[in-house]
Amino acid sequence: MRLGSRRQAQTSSPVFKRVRHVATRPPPAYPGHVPLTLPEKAFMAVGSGLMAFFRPQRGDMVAVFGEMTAGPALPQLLDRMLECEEGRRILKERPRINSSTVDLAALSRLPEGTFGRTYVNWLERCGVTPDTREPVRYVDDPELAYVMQRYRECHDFYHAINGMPVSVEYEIAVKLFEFANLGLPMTALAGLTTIRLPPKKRARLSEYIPWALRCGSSARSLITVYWEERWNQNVEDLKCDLGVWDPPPPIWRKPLGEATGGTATAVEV
Amino acid sequence: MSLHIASRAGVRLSQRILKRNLATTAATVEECDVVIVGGGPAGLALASALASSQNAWRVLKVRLVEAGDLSKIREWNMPPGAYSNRVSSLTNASEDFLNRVGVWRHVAQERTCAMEDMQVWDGISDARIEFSANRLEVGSRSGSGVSYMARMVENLNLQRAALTHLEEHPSIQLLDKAKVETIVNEETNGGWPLVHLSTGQTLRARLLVGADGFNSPVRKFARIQSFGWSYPTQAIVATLRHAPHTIRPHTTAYQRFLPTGPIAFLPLSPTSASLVWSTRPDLAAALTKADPAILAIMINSAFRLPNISMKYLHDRIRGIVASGATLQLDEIRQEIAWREQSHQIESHSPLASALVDPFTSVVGVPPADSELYPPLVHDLQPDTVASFPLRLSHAESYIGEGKGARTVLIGDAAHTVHPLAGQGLNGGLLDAECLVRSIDGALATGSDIGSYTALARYARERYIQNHAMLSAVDKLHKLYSSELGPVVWARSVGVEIINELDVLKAGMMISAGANANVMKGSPGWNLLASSVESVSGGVQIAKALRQGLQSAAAGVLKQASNALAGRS
Repeated sequence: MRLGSRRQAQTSSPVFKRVRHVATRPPPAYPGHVPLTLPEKAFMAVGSGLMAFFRPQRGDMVAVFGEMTAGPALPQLLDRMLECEEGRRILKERPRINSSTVDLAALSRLPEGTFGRTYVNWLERCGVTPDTREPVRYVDDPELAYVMQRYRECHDFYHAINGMPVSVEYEIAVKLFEFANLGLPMTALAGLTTIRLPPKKRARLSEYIPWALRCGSSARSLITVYWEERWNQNVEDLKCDLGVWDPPPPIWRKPLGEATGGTATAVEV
Repeated sequence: MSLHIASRAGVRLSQRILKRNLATTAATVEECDVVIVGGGPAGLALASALASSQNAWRVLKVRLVEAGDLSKIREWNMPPGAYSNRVSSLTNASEDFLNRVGVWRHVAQERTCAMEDMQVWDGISDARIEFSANRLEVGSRSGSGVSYMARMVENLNLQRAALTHLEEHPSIQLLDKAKVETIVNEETNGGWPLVHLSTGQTLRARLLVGADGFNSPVRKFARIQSFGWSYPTQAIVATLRHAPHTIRPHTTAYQRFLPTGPIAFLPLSPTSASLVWSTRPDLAAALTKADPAILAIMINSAFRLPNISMKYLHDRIRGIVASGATLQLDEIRQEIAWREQSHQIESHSPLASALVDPFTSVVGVPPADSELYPPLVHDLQPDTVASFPLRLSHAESYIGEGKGARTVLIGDAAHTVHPLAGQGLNGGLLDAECLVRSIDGALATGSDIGSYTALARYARERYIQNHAMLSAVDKLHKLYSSELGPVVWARSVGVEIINELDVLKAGMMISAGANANVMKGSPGWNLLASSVESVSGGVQIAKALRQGLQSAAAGVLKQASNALAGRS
């Protein structure tokens, strides 16, 4: 009897729970969730980190690395979302971004200069679609998993409003912009891949780093923006609202007019 | 035998001193040996203890001065099932003292509630410590043989009992509806304190006892400085009503440490409990002014929702109040329901509260772990919601010197403490007990009860004890106000290790007054002996250490990842 009540006491204690998870696997907390034990997480973090470093094209590895290393950054993002009305609405409605929830054809009919049109133009010019996002699998708390998912799905918007292409040096610049703005550790570690760039690209990136850090840190926390409500807003007004200013003009592989379903390699988040 | 003679000699001597003084003072001034200012629990306990003392009641002329109307307390009568909102947890040490003094038999026992178990947990990490008087074999035994560590008593119930007790001792006169106008030093005859009352009476005190609360006029007269600080918190008190448990007894107290302050649920009866919720002053103001139904659902969620959601709810309430709107029950309920949904709290979970009917939730087999949380509050007893500021203060000395000689401080006049450990009233009662022992001792040896040497024993014994208690409670409050990762981790690991060590827990309970009289027996040694005796004792310690180390390792990994992310 006495022993029974002790057991019960222990099951309630979170530290012991954490310890027990080393040996046993709890049930999934949300559809698609893969609960991992502590050693598994450590292994995944190291493995995906190495893979993402040497082959940045492996978007899935970058995604896993982001989830493994998110740590306390996600609760901070959640806190910021809860603090403002717009962010709360996102958490309550939990919107998703892909080609079935966003009517890209309707967006392309919007007048030039609107955020929706800018986004579609950017998609076309880079030859990417919003459907290539990996679902979140390894974040244990369902709400934090949504925050991670939201971050991942909004990543393209940061490219679009800043007019940044998706080749590696710009990708790193956007990642550093995100690090200054959102604080996810993965985005900072993406900055490390700078050392693997050829000298010419590295020189170009160094023009963007000061912008990324200044602009990212002074802008409003972009995770709290309900982008889907702002399709009709003028993109310059939007940038003004968010406190974002233009980076130095990037060099595109293709001029704007020729944008078709191109071959640019999308570096996934 | 010789002691007996000495004591009789002492009594005779005091009587002689008394007569001489009577002859030399003016007729308008009433000669007193002990003047107690303040008719709160500490002052009344002191008067009661003097009435039941060995020597004091025969020779001392005692007056108690109270500004309020004591007859209201004497006639205080609440219907069964209704409770006053000022409730204290009376430790067994205090109960034993009141029993010896003779006050306890006048306390309405059916209005008190023995506390057998206690659940205390961390608002951020959920690390939990459980105290059980029965399992740890600590505490007093009630009539039915069940051990309890403390007893919840309404302050008014206690005060009324003391007044009933004092009615049997007419030698102690109570002067109520008499405010202390001024206290001055007498110009001749050694400068004794003269207490001028609003009734026109003047009392000349051989010993002036300040039991007059935080803003003590006696302390001001004695020029005793007091140090301390206000906490940035305000305590909300209320009497809560909940559906009765079907299976478990109602003798568990619950306390959760939120970063804004602890919230406590203290059992009073199978369907009532007392709330002490210390929180930020603006939140306390908003919640006490709002519809009591809002406070009730906020109380339920404050024991259940993760800290991030409590913070969110607090911010929402602040936002709504700042915008000038009034808090709407449905709106807050929706917000809580949404947060529960976000945390995937199912409707049958013990953590669900917003959309659960408190009456049906107690029917049938309770969900797993439901004993870890207090029952759902369905409403508050009308007119019991109140709030007051919290502070720590300690007088620099308990005894006046020089111009302030012949004064002594007890209870809140000497020290005020955060209520998180429920030690405030108990401290005052133990002060009274110790002061009466000092006075009795002084009478036995024939010394002047107002002299510094006679009182020094009281100050020596109580000051250090109160100071240790005050500082422990203060540090606890500070430790649990922090949201810093490493601090939360360290305190959680510490609590989980302590939770495995019954000997240590029993020691904590004894030092918090769970045992009636520590001096009489040696429960601590008995406990140590029995735990060493049982083989499980050693095994338990090893197990706890192992688990502690494991959790420490998990914590180190977590800290490493935090540090990595801390750069953001």
